[in-house]
Amino acid sequence: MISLLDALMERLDRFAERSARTMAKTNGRRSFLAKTGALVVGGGLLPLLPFDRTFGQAHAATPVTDGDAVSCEYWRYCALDGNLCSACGGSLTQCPPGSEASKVSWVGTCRNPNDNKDYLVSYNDCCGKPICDNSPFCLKSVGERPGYRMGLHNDINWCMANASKGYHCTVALLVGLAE
Amino acid sequence: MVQLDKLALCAVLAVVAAPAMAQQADFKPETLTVKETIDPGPNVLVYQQEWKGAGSIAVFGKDDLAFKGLMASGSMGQMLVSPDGKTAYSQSTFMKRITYGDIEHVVQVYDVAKLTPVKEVSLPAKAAMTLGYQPMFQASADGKFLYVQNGTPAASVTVVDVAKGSVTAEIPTPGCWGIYPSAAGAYKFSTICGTGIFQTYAVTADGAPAGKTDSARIFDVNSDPIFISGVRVGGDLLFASFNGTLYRLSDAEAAVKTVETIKITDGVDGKWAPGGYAMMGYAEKAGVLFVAMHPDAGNGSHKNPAEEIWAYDLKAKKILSRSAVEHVASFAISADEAPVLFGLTEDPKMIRYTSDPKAGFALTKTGEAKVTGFPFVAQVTP
Repeated sequence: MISLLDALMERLDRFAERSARTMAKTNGRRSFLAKTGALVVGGGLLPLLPFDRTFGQAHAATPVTDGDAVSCEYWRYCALDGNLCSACGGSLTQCPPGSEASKVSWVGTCRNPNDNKDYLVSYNDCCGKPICDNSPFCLKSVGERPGYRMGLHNDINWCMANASKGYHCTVALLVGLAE
Repeated sequence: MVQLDKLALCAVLAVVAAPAMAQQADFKPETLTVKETIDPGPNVLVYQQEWKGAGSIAVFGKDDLAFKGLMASGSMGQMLVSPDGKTAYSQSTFMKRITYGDIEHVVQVYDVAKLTPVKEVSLPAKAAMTLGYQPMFQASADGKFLYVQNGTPAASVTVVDVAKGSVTAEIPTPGCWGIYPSAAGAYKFSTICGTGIFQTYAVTADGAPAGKTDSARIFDVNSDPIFISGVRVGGDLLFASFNGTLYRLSDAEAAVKTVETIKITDGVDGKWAPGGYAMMGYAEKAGVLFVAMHPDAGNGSHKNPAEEIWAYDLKAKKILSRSAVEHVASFAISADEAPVLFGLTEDPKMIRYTSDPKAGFALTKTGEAKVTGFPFVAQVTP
């Protein structure tokens, strides 16, 4: 009975996710986000959670040449709510050693003052350790929205889909160019 | 010679010890006890959310901010208080190794007078681990059911039968967020959806889902997004948008309907807008709405703490007063004819303000107390 209930709930969740995806594809700027997501996920990066932005693998650190990545004023952090992994043993695009990268994330649209272009920034949380209060805590909410637009929401623990749910810090990956 | 020395020493000790022994006979050692109940009187309860460990519900005296004690919960939790102030509820996360490991989502029910949990209900491990927002954890009007917002990130609502201490249903609410139970009549709750509509979910007397009804479009999610922290006004629901539009809605029928919209910032210079977390409070007896406002509003300013709190007359549609405040991010108000407002700042601290009905409900600071964690939800009790 319990496994049946679990199976049913899993199906309901999948339904919820499909609905969220359909909504995203028909809704303003999220339309572009959905296309970007589809493109990235189309590269074979499963599983298909609606806000899955793990991109499937670890990356090397991206050298930061366009600003101060340990300052809350750095341009990529325009919608970041959390502690900076870049000052917590990780980097702009790397979780600190021993932590887990979140499977899901929220997305901001930030203007790079160096080229005046708008970039889509995926804010992944790093998980499984205490809040990294050794690093700066930043709160920026450009384009942020309440949870009825979940993919743009930064008040929630984005370690929610991981096995380890303790919030540690946040990275900021460029995942696309906004139109 | 040695014997004589020992006798002399004993004699000296006897002389010194005699008064001490007399004192000992008068001394009554204290007894350790546990205070049974908090001091009586109206309170303000603050949920002190933590993301590192145990969050807590702090209890302060409403009139003097005397600190009365804590009730313990888990991390990333939410708080709810019964209308009579006698029972509190939390919903929170317990991780086996505090920051990792298996998790359990739990509702705890507390006897406020004793500051003690009296019941626990284990939930599906899906509850939204989010900053403190009242619409994340609500109760039916009669208190029979608790509604818990889930986010995995797929949205759903867990229904808890309080008396039975069990979960009756998980209701999928895809693309929607926030729980607004009906104020009267049959069991149901409404929720805000990312398409700008509200959906209303009916619940049977057994706590099972009983269908949903969509509203027409209520707001434009792109041009005029609303905050999820709504308030009740005369049976209606009232929400504020990032731009300062009030949406007064009726949830009396199957579908949510717009009653009226009011722009509270028209004619005011300085690009003022609502901001924060719990940024509105309606004082029913006084018939006045309080809104946390910040100037120079723009994209991304919607969580800015208040620099002023406006008292607003919803009938006359006019600002009654504008009071400077100390960066209030959330607040709660009392039900008095001269409401008392408790502001929570990001420092964090709680500031008590009284209002003067003869001066348009202008606020005066009358006290301050230390709070901890992320204190964004508070409630004043009778």
